[in-house]
Amino acid sequence: MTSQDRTADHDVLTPRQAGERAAEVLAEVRTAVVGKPRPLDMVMLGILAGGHVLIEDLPGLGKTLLARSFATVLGLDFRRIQFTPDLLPSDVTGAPFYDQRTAEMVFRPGPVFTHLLLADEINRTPPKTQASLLEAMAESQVSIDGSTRPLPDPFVVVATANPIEYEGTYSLPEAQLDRFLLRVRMGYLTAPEETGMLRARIARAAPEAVLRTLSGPGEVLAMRAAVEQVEVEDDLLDYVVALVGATRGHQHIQVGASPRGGLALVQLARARAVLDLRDYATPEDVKDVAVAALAHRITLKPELWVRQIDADDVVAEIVQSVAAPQTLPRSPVAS
Amino acid sequence: MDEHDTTAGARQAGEHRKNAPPAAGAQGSGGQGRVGAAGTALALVAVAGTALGALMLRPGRSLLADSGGPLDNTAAVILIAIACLGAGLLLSTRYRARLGYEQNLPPFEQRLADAVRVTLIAAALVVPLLLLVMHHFPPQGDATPTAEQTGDDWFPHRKRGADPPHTVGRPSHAPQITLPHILVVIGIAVLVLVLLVAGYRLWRQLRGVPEQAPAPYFPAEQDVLADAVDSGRRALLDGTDARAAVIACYAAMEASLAGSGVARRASDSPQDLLERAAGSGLLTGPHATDLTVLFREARYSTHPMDRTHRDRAAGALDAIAAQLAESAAADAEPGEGRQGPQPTAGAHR
Repeated sequence: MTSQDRTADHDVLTPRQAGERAAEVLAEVRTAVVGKPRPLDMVMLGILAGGHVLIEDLPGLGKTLLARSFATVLGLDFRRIQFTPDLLPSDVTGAPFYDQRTAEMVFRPGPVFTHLLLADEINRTPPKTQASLLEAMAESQVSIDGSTRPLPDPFVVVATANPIEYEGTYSLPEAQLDRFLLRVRMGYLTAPEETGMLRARIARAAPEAVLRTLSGPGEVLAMRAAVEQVEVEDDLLDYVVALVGATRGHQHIQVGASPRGGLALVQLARARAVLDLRDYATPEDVKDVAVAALAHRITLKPELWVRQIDADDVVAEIVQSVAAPQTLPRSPVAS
Repeated sequence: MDEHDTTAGARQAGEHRKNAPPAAGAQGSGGQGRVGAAGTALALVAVAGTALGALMLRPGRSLLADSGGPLDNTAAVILIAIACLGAGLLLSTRYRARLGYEQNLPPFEQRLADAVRVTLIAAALVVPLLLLVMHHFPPQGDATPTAEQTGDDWFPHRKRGADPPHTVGRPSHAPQITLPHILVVIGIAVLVLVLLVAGYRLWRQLRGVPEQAPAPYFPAEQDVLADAVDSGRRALLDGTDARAAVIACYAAMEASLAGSGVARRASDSPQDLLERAAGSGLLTGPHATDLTVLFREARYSTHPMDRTHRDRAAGALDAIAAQLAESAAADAEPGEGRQGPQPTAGAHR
């Protein structure tokens, strides 16, 4: 069965069906990316929720493999941009060039015209080039020379950033960080997982595992549509607002999360419900994704750098202090 | 550090904070609060010690006068000593309560906290003791005390002009029992008692005998949970609407738990509460999870809910009740088991 056939079969998916398809995709990706269940789940959540993912970690931890594996299994067109200090915005978005045969200016699309774009080491390029991704990420379109060109749908940016190196890097501005739906950290494998990874490499006698394509762009869109069917109760929305509001009044936070942070939190919680084969979101869903959705959107006070308190810790503390919805609903719901 | 590790670590830290007693300090800044408390306590000890020293050394009349200063009055000295002892012990107790029972501090902060704890107790004992030892008690029943009798050989400057003015003209061998004497004796007795208690506590402290941490669940886990199960059953019986019945069942369980000491914290999700209530190992197995799943569905979805859901909730409650009864029976076998209300399986039907 080709991916097109699958798409035709799954134009409309229920949240349960979407969750089952997502679970199949995750199982296939796990054959290539060993021992990273949590980051894989979070990237899947980002794709289901229709957002872009920032993977922040050291080199060699499988960030590129992860992005490419998702692109392969989901049947998405995949491009990669290695961000360097001399990269120009036109290298990302594309640029018009003069065609001598037709004597006309012809637009040559850049690598951003793809389904899944891996922006590798995005913090190695100057802000001007970083900003060239802003419109693409926010509105799924590129405006060049007065004309606006839509990007393929779905369009997902998986960006990687090295959080340790400072020499020759340009930290992402808050406005651009806010464009990412969530931030994921990969982390090192445990010793048994690393042994298993090496054993798997020896067993397959090839650099990388060969993955099956289980889905296609149409089915990804159907899965995203299924996320939109997930119910969110009013009290839960109040809880999300309270969490976001708490980031704005916290003693350690200079700039709190934006309203976009609340939107991200709701969408990720709904996607989390789909992965759990539910069509309703719960406080557990919100709590589970709060750190990934909000931590990169807040700016800590400068003195916390000395105390080695990072945004993840502060958001986790907020999650533990903000009141969750009460047991009894505000208005009774009939069966 | 990866997302998983970071999030899990933060979650564990959050759990630790959740499980710690409320007095353990503010969330997220517990370590800072403890260091601050240590600093405050040390500062108080230093200030009190300095003030006491100043009082002891300050001459009452003039720099050249032969006087014990404002602490010449024996009753005042004893009262001050008792006050110092009481305040020191109170401060020490409050500091230890603020630290909490579960200490997971960095090594430096842990050493600092230990030092402050010992210093506070030692200061509570040593300061009153020094007050009494260094005080010049007036001789009782001897009109012409010698230096040996009054202990003035410790303070040679007092040997000059040792003519206590208050004893002039008193009968030499006629001790009188007056109210101040009685008060002084009572005060000394109380002081000795308090010193003994404080010494015992200091001895326990220095030997490292841990304080008995409060039990996380009280008064009896089986009783608490059995009450909760019974409340849930009543809610199932009362309700006609399946969704409302499931929610009311869970709410009744939550109220019973809260009334018995396992209160839902404001930030708890249903899963958080159930995990804490089942933390003792009484509610193992899938039934408690089933009930929580049912509640979440009833609370946060608009699904049609029917008798099937209600029956599943009842089944989960039955299983939990049976589990509790089995646990209670196992506890009762040694002969000293707690005899709480025994839930009966199938009582709701």
